[in-house]
Amino acid sequence: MQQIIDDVPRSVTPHIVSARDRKYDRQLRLWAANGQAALEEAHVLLLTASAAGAEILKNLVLPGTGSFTVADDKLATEDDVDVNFFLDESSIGQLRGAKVAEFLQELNADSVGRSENLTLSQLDKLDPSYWEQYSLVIAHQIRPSVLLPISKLLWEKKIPLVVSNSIGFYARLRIITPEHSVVESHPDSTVDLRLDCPWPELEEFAYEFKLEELAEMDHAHVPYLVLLLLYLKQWKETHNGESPSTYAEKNEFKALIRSGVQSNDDENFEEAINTVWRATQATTIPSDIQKILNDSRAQNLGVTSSKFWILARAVSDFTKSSASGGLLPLSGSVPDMKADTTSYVTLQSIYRTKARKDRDWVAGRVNELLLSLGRSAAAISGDEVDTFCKFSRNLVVLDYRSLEDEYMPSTANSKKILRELEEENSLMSVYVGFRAVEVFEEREGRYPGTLDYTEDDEVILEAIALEIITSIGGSVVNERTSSVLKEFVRYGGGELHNISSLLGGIGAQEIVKIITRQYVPLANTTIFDGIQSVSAVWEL
Amino acid sequence: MSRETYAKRSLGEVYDKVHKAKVLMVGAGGIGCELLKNLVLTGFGEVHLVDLDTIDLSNLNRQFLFGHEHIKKSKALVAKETASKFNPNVNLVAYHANIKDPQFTVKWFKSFDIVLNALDNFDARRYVNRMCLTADIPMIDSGTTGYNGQMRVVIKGKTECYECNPIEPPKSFPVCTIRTTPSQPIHCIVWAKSYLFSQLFGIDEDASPDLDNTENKENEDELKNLRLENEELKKVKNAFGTVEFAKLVFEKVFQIDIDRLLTLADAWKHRRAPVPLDFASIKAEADAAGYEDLDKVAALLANDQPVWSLHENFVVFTDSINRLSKRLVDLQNRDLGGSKSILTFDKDDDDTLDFVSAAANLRSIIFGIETKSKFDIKQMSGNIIPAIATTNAIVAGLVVTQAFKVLSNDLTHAKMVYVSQPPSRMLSSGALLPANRDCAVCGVARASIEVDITKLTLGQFIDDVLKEKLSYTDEISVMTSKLLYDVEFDDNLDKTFEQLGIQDGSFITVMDEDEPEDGSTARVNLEFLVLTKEFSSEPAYTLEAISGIPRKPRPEAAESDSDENMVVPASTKRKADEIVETSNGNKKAKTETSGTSETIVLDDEDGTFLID
Ligand SMILES: [Zn+2]
Repeated sequence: MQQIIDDVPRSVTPHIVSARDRKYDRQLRLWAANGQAALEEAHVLLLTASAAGAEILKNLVLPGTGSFTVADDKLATEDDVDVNFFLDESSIGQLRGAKVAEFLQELNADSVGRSENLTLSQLDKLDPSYWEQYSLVIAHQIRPSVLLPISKLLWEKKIPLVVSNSIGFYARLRIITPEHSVVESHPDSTVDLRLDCPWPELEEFAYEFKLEELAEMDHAHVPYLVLLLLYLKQWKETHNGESPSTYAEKNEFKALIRSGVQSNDDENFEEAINTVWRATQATTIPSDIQKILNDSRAQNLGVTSSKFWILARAVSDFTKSSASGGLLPLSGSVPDMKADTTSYVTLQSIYRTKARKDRDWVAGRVNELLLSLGRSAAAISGDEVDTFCKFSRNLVVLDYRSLEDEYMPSTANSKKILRELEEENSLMSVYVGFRAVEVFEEREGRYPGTLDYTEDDEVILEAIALEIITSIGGSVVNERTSSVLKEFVRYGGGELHNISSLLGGIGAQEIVKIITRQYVPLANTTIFDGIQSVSAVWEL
Repeated sequence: MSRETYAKRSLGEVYDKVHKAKVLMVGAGGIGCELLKNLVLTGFGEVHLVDLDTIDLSNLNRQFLFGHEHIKKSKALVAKETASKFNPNVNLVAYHANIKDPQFTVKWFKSFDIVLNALDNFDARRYVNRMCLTADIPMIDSGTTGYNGQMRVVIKGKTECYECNPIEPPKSFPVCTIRTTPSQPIHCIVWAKSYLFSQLFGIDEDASPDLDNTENKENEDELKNLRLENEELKKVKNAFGTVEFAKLVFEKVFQIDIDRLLTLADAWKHRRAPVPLDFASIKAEADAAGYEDLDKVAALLANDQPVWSLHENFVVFTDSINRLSKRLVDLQNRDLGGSKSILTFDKDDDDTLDFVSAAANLRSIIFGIETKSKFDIKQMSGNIIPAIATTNAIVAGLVVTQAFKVLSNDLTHAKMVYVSQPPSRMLSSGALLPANRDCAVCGVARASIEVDITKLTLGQFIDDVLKEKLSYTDEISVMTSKLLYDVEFDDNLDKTFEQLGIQDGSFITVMDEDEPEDGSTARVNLEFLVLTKEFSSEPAYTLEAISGIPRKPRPEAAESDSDENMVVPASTKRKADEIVETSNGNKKAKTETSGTSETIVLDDEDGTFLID
């Protein structure tokens, strides 16, 4: 048999489905090839080769972030080796950044790593264009006097900055970028049925079904969307053209559908009845989407306008055109249902054709807009228009607050902070703790709790916390905050590895969302308390 | 200030306990790698890790203790080697083994202070849950899928165990759905993978794990039909290795079998009838498209994203059959005289995946079902769960903070935590719920017994162990999955354990039906874990471990609501109230994190859990 089989023609495996795709298979299922491509183009800078910073970077190097740079000017100490997995005994006395970059590089050859000997206090001496090589900057445990100027510079250059802190059982993460827009927000569903306002082709298809003339089997295979359209038509004929709107009317409408059931096989009728609430809901443009379409960034396009806003403008124009009936482009998805194959396929094609038509209108408008802006028509691809139209009901624009706005008492989110501080067990106490520790470190040149005698530090730290609270209109450091401050002193500025590791997970996760522009990232601060294993999210 | 580690400073008094703790980590995959790093760097003194798996390329995007050079090596051993480089002061012990192996006795479990579960399948997690309950060792269970994750502390008698809430078994499909009336892509994928593939290249048996073979009146005819088809397929297999083979298989399963299905007129009264495929005309189509050129076939297979057309599926089907046949022939030539060579389906093995993808799609076309890309079929056929480093890092970080609570005996602050998506929140945590009284796993007393199953009889077991040592009366029943003994059924007394089908790792349940005259209740069920061992002399067993066997709680008198009738001491009662209070918060958290309404069982590298 050996002889015969060798003569049987066959292709030779492996085919070129690459080792890279295979290595990244489990994550491609989350963010697909376009997300992966964005990640592979990114260059991330980590400021300070701390344990938590290295953990964030580790979780970016593993999935294949294109390149990374570790900037640091310290020599590794025994303390560093204790908490940082990416340093070992042999690193002691060597440049911390270089060693961390070296160990991280070992994790993934696809990611290109390097280090820079940068002194934090000298960062303002750098040419501002220095930052432009990076797509995102991570800053871990950096004092405000250094951090604020960098954040301002990056803000102007629209380079996202992720700030993290980790002391003892506490961690903090903050995202700063002037604007982050998401098209692929990964909603649970993109189904948009429009049964309340069917377009002519859909009506024509549905109204051709004559339920009373169908054989038992065919009756049980009428798609429920068609059933709903037929019964809605019947209902409207006796209700002055209105859809059922009150609870009672909807129940009456369900009863009407139920009256058409002929056999036990009519599961399609059950599907129709279960979808009555959706079918009778008026299709509109959700208010948050309308806000995006009306945004001045869409309405007043300029030469530097991003693709997102050009697309938003095109969709906005679409909704105002006669082609749309005042609605968003149709997504074209049809849910699964009990139906005979021919009807189902026809139904799918009716939805797809309409979606295609809407999308073509938008694509045409995008071309006109690009032309009027003096840009190439190729600047926005057909795929990008497809995706934008498909997810137009789920667009997200996050306008972040700057770090300056958070730190300046006049622009701080004072009310929120003070109100939260009064809540029992609120993690806002931990936030105030981090802010106070920063000031302490800036003034004393060391973290609280690093001397043998700690009581003075407790007093000083509480005084600083009071300054911060008073500056935003408060008057006391409450008991809960006071005990959190004592915890901070006890930790002596040290990182606890498992908390840094957790922060590394949270931080990298948000960074991946920002880089891939998929899923909705954190806005804008999260605090984690490892004593209680709880977290909070606020916009500060 | 004298130098002390940051961990020591942050942990305070707990540090010593952590440093002295002996930890068992089951699973060295996604969560396991993160966990081991955390344990090593937070001052744990001794960690034992057990994992049966070897390293695969698709692990490397998150399991950072492994590199390309480690592919196909033991996860446990490599994890130990890599982690100890970074902290040589920790005592790491690695076992490349199945946690269910008899070497891991209850006594061995008892030697640990805490067990951390970082497993990827229900079966092993259930087993470790039972072992920890038997050994009375606290356990922390964890799992992730994509951006979601969870972890919880399980302590015998104090919290819910892993099985207090019934776990849905993985989905299986009735034979008739797979065999006769598929209506979804997954039905065709299961058919291609569990039926056709194993019939052609694997085991020659009717039974395969994804098929529900329980026979009943309704599917009797279909099963008969299935067997008939198997017979015919065996005949087709005579042409195995020849140029004709692919054609014969194609005609058999996509034409002849479908024609026969069409004769079951009843089945198509209410369903769209399948349409058989014609080999010659599709081949003509494929040839016209230039697919006689194997380079063109290779080019088609180089991209797994597009959905193939009918003739493209045809091309992949015949090509992959020929590739698999060649492999099997080579394998058989190498293993002459040895055990029968087979191929098994592996989602990461392109030859097998190509075959399953094309066969599933061809069947879908026949039944008017949507076809899928190879990329999607890989996920559906291999139970692939998205997995990334970030979620594992978050969950592993949480596990270690909870381990601190457990080791310092601070159970009021121990938690179960769900990791979900912002913007609303990152984590939802809730207090631990009390054990479910009716739980068949933790609501029972546990024992383990080493037995020479060829020697010990049921009679000896009942007399020596149950009556003599444990003071049971005659009013008992003894059962495995079937009844072995009760007062009215003593046929089995002279049979050995082996004759009764009891094996290593079997569980035997003893039910006490004696209601003593003093008014006390019967004892709770006692569950024995059987570990086999050879004994050269009598007695042919050793009772390895046994917990106390409490009496069943008295059914609560519904009409009494006055405090005087409460049997629970006041202090305990208050505690119970506290738990109830906090449990509400948790329930809320649970509902809010749930995404879909359907219960799905997930099973992959980084853990398994239910999304409800
Ligand atoms: Zn239980």
